[in-house]
Amino acid sequence: MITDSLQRRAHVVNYSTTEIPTRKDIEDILRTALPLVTSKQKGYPYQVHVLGPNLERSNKLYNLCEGNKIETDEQANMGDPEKYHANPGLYHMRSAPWTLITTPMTRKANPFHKARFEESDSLWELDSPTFINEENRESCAVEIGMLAKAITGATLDKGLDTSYNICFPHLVHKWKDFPFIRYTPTLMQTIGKADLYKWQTLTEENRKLDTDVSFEDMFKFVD
Amino acid sequence: MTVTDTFKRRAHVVHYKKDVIPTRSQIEEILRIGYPLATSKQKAFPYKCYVLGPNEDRSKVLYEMCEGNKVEFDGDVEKKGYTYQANPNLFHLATAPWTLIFTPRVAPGNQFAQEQCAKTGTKWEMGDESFIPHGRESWSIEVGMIAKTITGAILDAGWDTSYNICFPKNVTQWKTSSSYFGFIKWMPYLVQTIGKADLYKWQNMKPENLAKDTCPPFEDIFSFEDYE
Repeated sequence: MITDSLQRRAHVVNYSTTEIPTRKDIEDILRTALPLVTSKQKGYPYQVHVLGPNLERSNKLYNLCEGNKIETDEQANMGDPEKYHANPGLYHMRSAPWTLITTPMTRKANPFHKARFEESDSLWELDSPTFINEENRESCAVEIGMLAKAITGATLDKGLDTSYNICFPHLVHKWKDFPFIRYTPTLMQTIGKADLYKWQTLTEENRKLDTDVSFEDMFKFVD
Repeated sequence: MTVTDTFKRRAHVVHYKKDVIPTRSQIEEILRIGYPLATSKQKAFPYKCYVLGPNEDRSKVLYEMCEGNKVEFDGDVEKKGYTYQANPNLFHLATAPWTLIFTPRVAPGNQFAQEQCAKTGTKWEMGDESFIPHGRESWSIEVGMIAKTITGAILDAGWDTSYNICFPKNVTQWKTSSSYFGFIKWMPYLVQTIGKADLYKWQNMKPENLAKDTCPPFEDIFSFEDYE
């Protein structure tokens, strides 16, 4: 059952720095997940950059993301320095042994779709850098979310943990220290063995206040 | 049970059965399983899922809207000497007994989030309607995640599901093309159908075409940056 795989997921605050998945563990996870997802016209217009254990680089990524939060608050005329608290939702970035950074990527049509598109005079857009980086980001993000969830399932099945992050700079030049990033990322996902989960850092009172949206607010039966 | 056991059976549907239809209670059970397995930044869940039950006429209208969107995009191909071919990947919409339409939602923070924002002077963006255009990309990721957990619950229950992201990208078209979709306030992220498949896409393709309909290799999708 899907619940068996996914029910254990919890947001990580700190990863263990002694229990580190090997490259083989990570490759197994990714090879398990990829065939479980789908993509419109088998385009898969994204690329996952896989960053292995490197604490200095993980800290650099964390600082990049926390800096982005500070900048966002400043731009909104908020973020009073006297009230500043680092965002604990981002802490997983700095101790993560493995980090996946997913960005859009151009893709050519496979032989089947190439023929179909030519037969019907339809335009294959996914090989255009402008299209994938400016016009297709939202649709691509849906597929990236599906892949992230499949990777999550494979990660949890292996007894490891994973967390996500969407708070990062959205201007590609801010990623200059990561030269493989050619397009602004869509999602970051970390993998490792948790030392501390977010729920363990909340008081019992706050756990009660940190509610999900009710089922009825989320799902509206139209008929 | 592993995640592979759940997801390996998923296949894109061409037609759903008309005589084997999930009940409302079965759909609600699927959604109640899928929802807690999804996550959302700061538990905002800034999206809403409209659940449309069996209504053949409405399903056909939705299909025509989506196919019309493709025709509008490609232009009049017959004028250019090509033969018009309806996109078979959209056929599932026409026979789907159940259809989920995910759209943005203005999402006030829960009490904990509100208190944290007040304490740290941080802006809560998801409660602001004007922020929706800026948040769409990030929220699409979360919609992809919940669609996947719902997919797992659907497959575990022995049903089938398919997705569609080819639809009119202008919310006015949803409101004006039919009275069926007046509830759509913001342009949807994703349409997902549920039912019992009568025909899958792979069954509808010649063996030589199946052989050509390849996915990119693992190495094109995943780039290990520390290794040559």
